[in-house]
Amino acid sequence: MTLADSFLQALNLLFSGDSQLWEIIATSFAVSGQAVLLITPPALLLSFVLAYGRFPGRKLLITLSNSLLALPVVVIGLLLYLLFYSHGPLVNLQLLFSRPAMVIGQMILAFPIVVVMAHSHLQGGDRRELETVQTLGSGRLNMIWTLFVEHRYALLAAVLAAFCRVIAEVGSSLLIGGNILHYTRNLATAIAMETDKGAVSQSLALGLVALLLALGLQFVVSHFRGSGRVE
Amino acid sequence: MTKPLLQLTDLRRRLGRRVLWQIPQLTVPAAGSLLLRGHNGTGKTLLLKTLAGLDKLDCQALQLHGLNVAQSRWQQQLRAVTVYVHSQPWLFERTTQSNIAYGLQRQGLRGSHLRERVWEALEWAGLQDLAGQRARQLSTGQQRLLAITRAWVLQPALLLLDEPLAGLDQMARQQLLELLGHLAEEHRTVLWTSHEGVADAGWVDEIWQLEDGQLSREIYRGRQASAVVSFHRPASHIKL
Repeated sequence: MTLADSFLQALNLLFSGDSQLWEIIATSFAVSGQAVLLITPPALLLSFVLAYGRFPGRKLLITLSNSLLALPVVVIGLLLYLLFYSHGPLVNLQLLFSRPAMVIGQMILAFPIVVVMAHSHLQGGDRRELETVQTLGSGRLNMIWTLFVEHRYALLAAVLAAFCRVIAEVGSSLLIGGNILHYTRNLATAIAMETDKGAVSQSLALGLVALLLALGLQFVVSHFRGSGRVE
Repeated sequence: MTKPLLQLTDLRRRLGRRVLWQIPQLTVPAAGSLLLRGHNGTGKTLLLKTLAGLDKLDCQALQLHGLNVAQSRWQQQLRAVTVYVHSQPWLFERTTQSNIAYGLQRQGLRGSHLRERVWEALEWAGLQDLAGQRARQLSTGQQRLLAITRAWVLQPALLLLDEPLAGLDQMARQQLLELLGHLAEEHRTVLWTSHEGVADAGWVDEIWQLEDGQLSREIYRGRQASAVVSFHRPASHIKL
């Protein structure tokens, strides 16, 4: 079978309404969506504190957040595996090879991405905005809310970028999710498995879905980021 | 006799080891137009921000309407009685009227009462035609006018304006000067800075001069000020 044949077969599979394929896509969205939704409020809050706060250890926290970006996904998976496996300290939680475990892994991956991207946007801002909000009578919570609303597009772009990153990760999901059909199989783990089996068309179909998904989300991110040039 | 709005004892501001200014006794009257002069870099903006509760406050004692304020509440009390306007104001990414409404909403105003107050403010500044326009699309002069209006509508006891006239063309400058003149008639206190001469601001009650880390005060209340506000150093001045 040529690559072109495989590609056509992949398109056919994609638009034939194959229930297993769509189930895998749904699992990917559910797991990654949960992970990103759960980390968004604390990550944005931390980015705000790092950008506007004055406290000892702030620079250390920034360095730590930046360093976490370089942590290999498979290492996150391995560490969680060691926590959850049959001799691990958290075995009683019975999380190994479950969706919650995958969510936890993706949360660890997504958290520093949102913190670093949101913080780097906020730190480029202007102290006048904080002072204006303070002088116009905002309390602490209202001040944070106002500044989030003012920077909503850039912050949303950070969240979407994190989503794009975690939905495509395979290392952690495979190690702690286990790629169980109808439960923990997602796009990335399914692609890895189908390629191993030699089912190229299935693998390509899944790859196409992942690509379309990534493209769609990147268009959304680009839209929120603005024109991408200096105005 | 009316008690002063604010009295700060031994007020100082350090930048590292350097003392930027040191003022043994700073008295802000309960009403009047006060002009703070000084060259660039003398710390005018920092003084305004300190009084606005936006910068750290280093002083011995703070009195508000003649009453001592506990140190833990200094910043909170200063923010409660002042509104500060930057020389280049920061406006929300909203319409002109939403910008004006922001502070009023923080005060708990809603519905028709809020709309009335916003409209009143728009009329006061002559910004009615720009009510629905995006604030950041306004001209520099209009943006500054909007920022002052946004502050004025909150009726603060002390309105702090940093270089409100800087960088404006003659027409916008005249319009803002008129507005500052109206503010001076409202029996509240307006403290504004300028690094240049303002010969046409004859309604100024006091001129504060910040120089070499010292603040001196010249009182013009009840006198014809227009001749002296051309910013030659006053012949005699009180060191504060």
